[in-house]
Amino acid sequence: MSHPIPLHSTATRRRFMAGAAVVVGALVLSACAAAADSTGGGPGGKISIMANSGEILPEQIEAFTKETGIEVTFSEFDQTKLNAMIAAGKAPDIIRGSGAAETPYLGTRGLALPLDDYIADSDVIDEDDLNVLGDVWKWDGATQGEGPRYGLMKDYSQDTTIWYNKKAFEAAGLEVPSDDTPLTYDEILELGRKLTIPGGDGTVTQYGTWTQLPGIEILSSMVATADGQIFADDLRSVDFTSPEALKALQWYVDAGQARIGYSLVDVNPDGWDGPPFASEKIAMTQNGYWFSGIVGGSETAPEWGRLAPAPVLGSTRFSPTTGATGHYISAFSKNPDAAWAFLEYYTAGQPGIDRAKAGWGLPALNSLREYLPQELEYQKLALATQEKEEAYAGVLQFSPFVQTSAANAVIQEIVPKAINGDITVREAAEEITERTNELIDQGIELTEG
Amino acid sequence: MALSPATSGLTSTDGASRATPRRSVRGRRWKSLPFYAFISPWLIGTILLTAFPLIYAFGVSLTNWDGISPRFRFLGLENYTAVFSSPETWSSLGRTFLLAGIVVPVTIVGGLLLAIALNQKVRFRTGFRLLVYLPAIIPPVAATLAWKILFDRDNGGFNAFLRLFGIPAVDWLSQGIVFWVLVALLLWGIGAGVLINLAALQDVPIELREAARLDGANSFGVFWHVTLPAISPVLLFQVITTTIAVLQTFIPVLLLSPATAASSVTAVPEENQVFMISVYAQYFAYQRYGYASAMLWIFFALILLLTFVFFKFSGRVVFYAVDPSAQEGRR
Repeated sequence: MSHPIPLHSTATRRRFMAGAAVVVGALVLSACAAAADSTGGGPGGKISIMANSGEILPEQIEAFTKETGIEVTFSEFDQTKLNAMIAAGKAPDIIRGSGAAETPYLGTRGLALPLDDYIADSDVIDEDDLNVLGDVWKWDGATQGEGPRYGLMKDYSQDTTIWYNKKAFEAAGLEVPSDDTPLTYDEILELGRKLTIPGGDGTVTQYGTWTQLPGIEILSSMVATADGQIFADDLRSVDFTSPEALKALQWYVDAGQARIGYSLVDVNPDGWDGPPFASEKIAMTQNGYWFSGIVGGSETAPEWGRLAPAPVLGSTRFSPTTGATGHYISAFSKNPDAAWAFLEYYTAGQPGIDRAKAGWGLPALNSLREYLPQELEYQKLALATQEKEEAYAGVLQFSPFVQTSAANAVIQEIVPKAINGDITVREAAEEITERTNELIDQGIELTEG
Repeated sequence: MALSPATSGLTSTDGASRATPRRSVRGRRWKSLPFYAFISPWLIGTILLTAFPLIYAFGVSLTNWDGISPRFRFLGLENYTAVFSSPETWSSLGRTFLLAGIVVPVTIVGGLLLAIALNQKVRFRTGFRLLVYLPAIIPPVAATLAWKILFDRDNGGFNAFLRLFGIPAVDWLSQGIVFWVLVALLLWGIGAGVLINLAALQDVPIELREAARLDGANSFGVFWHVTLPAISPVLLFQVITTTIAVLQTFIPVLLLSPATAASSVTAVPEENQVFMISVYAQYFAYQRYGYASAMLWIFFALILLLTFVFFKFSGRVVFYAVDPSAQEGRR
């Protein structure tokens, strides 16, 4: 039997391989060209945005393009994809980020464009009108909150405040938290025990406290209320073995062992506190003012959902933002003017006003506060509590040499061992310290060479 | 076999005689075009999506790159020695092989027994086959999320069932039990193997079984000496593909855990931290791209070795209707 197609013609195979190489090359080149095109163009040309589609809406993009003639390519935020794009020097023009957690990292690595000149020249954004908590987007190479501004927050909250279910407190015969005097974390543990309602058959009908997924942002703010700090002054190391940090870790371990809230060993099926709080499955949740959007989205929660001040581990009141989520312009942007035009529109234009009206956080511009929702009782009470809380606002310091997500990965790997009783809290603290410092050392080497 | 002038080395100065072989070569080239047209998507795909990433990952594995920095340092094989000397590597490998050690045999043996049962002439046979196969066609993400809801301690269906008998609720998704939930979830897709086995069983020549019966073999003897050898290549295929699939288990583990983002992949309960979870954590939680790439390359080599071992030692227990070596010799 002979082969209908000869497989042994070397000349043909060679030609084919050469052709295949040309095709591969063409594909690679066209991919590069496509990527370059997405960020290229002159003023009024094109920009690309990588963000959350629930935060930058298609109709907002459409209105911007109609008004300015600038075309926008939108892609959903994906950290992995973003890292690959940055590594290839083809980052989107506008990128979503957390001002509190990412600014030192972005600034030190030269990934974000300073916006100060743009703000100085802007007709719609005034430096004095920017809320002071947005200063977490500033970084001078040593201190967060100082120096050039690398991004604009879309809105903010002081994220360690507490939302509680007034009805659950009353049903348990407990006094509801004050709107200006903070609870201590010890008191929260005690309240959590009293508010937890066992189902009697091994289930839990209502948890007392929130989902306890410890992260370096919350741990740092807890420690700050006890006059301690996790990061060293030069931000080149962490120490979780200080008495204050040990106390904060102990709180998470105690709460996890007491099973008075979802934890890393008692899994929240929803993954976060919104649904269980709205369905009265948990009585307290640690979230900022923005959570009023969740409360407002529930049929019953506006009647019983109330905001209380950020709790304290020691005696110092400190109520930071751990997010200040917003957007920055990539340092590699080929059309930064057009990108700034979008940020201006998004912050001070109709999208900024619409966000303020919705109550999903406090606006980046103080002048937009007048739009915050004030029709319902819970909205008025929440804003009143929030305004008192602002006296205790502050900026947490994060290291430029490690992403907070990496530090949190270490914490969330080790804390469950302590909750399960496999290691002591001190052993957990030592391991977290050692592992996080290894990551910081790696970051120092890659940043400073 | 006739040699063409081009291959036989014969040459001619006559113009007319030169024209014939030229047409022949050109003709063969045109004839071969469909072959290359058909394989080119796979060839290009393999180059772009397999060979290039493999080589790229190997390059990254020799550095301390974090996936984002413009700077990195060449480390040589340092990442490889670090992977081998890390206790985490061995513990995650141990968990992974324990998982495979349980899931693969149960899948193969269970799939075969179910196929034998479903090959009997019973009423509603088609319905039973459909029921067994149905879970295999449900997307893994949907299946895992459904299981997460079913195994929820407070509101899950399994605990509701236990409560009917006065049994207290069980923390299915917590440390100590969640590994077995994962095992059960992976076994849930046993139907795919059943279908393959069923097809293999129906392909066993009936005359062989009848001959064995005439020789006095009972039902078990027929199964052991005729059916099993006849379907052994199919079983070997399943052993290899199931082993590779279980060793690479990732999505079900992640979805059963409290992890809600790439960085919280480390929140996967320790007993479920299989090798691919460790790799993912090193890449996307700790941003140790070099180290994670070294882990992947080691795992890739391990799976290749395992596949080779399966093939090497299957000769005595796997029987082919047509001897592949004889076929090879004939060519």
